[in-house]
Amino acid sequence: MARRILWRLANLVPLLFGISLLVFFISKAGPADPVKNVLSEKMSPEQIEQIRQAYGLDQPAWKQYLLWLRDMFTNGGGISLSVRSPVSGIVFPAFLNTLILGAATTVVAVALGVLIGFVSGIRHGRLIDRAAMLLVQVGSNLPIYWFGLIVIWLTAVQWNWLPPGGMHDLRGDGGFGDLLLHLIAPAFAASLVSMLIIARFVRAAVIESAGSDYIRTYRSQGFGRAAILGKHIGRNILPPIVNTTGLTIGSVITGVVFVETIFSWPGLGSVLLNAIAGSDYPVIQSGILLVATTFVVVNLITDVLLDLLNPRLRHGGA
Amino acid sequence: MTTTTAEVRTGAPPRLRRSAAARFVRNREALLGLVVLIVVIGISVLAPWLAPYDPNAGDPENVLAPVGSAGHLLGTDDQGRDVLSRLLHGGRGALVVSIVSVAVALLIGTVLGLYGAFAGRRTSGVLMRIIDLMFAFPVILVALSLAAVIHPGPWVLIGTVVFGAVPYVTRIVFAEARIEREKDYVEAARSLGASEATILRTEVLPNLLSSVVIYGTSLVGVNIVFTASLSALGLGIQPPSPDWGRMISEGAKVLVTGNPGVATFPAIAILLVALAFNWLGDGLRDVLNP
Repeated sequence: MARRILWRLANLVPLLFGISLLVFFISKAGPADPVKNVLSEKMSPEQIEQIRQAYGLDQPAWKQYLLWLRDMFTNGGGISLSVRSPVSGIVFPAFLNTLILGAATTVVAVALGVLIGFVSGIRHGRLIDRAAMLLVQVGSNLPIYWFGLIVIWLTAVQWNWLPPGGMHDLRGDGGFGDLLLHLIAPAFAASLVSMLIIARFVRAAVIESAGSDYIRTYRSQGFGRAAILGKHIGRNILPPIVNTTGLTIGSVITGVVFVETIFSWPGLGSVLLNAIAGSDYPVIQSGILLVATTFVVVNLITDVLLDLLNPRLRHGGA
Repeated sequence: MTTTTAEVRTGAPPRLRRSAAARFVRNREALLGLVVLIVVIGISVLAPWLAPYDPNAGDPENVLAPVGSAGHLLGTDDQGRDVLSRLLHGGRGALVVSIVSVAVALLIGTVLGLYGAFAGRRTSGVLMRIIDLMFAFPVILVALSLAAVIHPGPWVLIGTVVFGAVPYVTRIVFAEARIEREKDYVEAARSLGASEATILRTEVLPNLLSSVVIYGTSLVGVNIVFTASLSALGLGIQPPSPDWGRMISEGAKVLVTGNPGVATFPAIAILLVALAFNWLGDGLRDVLNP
């Protein structure tokens, strides 16, 4: 078991190296000169050369990569080209906000997805199952951008239940309850795709589990429906839930980026879109590296969780 | 009952072929999907002749006309442009981008999947591990990176869709090719002296083609929805081209002020086209892989 987890950890090293290399080349591959925005036409060639040197652009590519990597860890990711302040000061607070929204989105996706999947699975073929599957089919073909708009329109404008966007009420105390209130609508909107994927998988797992021989045996022995559902089917669909949740992390991150701009959530998605509009490469690179690393780490955590849930591995196997 | 026995008795190949077409026609969802797609593609091709107005010509005198107003069946947007005309034009970019990029992804995924299934254990292990990682990777990061390297536009959409679709296609082809590999006809071809490449091309590939086409059909639908959101974010098709995704984000400004139509009509169009591709894919599966 421990060896398996160590092996997975060791696998991270080449993966993170590869990702960092790809992200580094974002600024190299583009047609735009990374420092073009800093330069002005009045500068002399010497001044331009000075700026290029300050950004390390006169060095060979491999050296630039190492310098860039050093900046990532020691100098706060370098200096933003548009704001002229350290990148970490721009990226980290936004990343934390995105993390909050991402966690809330995952919670909503798992809770509602499991609920929809479980109910339609045990009512397989009945009206509620068919209604749920219609909902899944329509929902997974809705543009998430429009879905977010409609959620705002309904919850904030029509019914006036929830705030129309942002992270805190400007006049409020900025407390946890206020944050929670602002989280509900964007988390629900961002969770759409992953929620429906989870619902579909859970439904299939419940149907398969409910039709298996040992469940029929329990039933014939007179065990109560609730006990069978909770203890046996419930335990059997736990690994697929963890597995599917891990697989939908990508959808969660994508959903969060889509939703951030709609709900004016001060997260990394909005920061990245602004940075792309302004060709602010240091911010783009740090932001993408941060999200990609988060994805890899979450992926690792799901793999380890699945190992822990697997009884064949837990009881001293290979 | 009597018809079944009659069919069995006269079960000759031409009869089977006819029943495949009959099965497709009898599958109501598949037929509906096909009809919707033919109509939508026809409209997109003929949009310049069908649209009552220039999709980009704004009329400052007639801003935000409601649905059903005189001359503007679906109203006008905040710049006074005719929503119906924009809607008729708006599917062109999305359809071309999704179909082209899914076709490219099918090609790459099929090659990778076949290679993985017939390569040695170590190679296929490494390949499928990379595919697993791509499978769950947040594709939005690919879109953002591409938009940073090349400027936002249709190429960003194509690159992102190809990256997102390749792992799905590869997995399906890999799984099916692994099953085919163990079958007798492959063994027979091998014992007759056919090379691995020939076996792949002339024996295995034709057997996988229907699955690939079925899967590709549904993938186009999924990606029309996805690219619409990317265009809405500003990473995809750029104004002034009328585009469904872009119309959603442009309509966002006026949605809260009580004009939900500007953003909602394109969303309905996207939903309909995506559902049609799904229905068509399901119908093809019933016909080709019963």
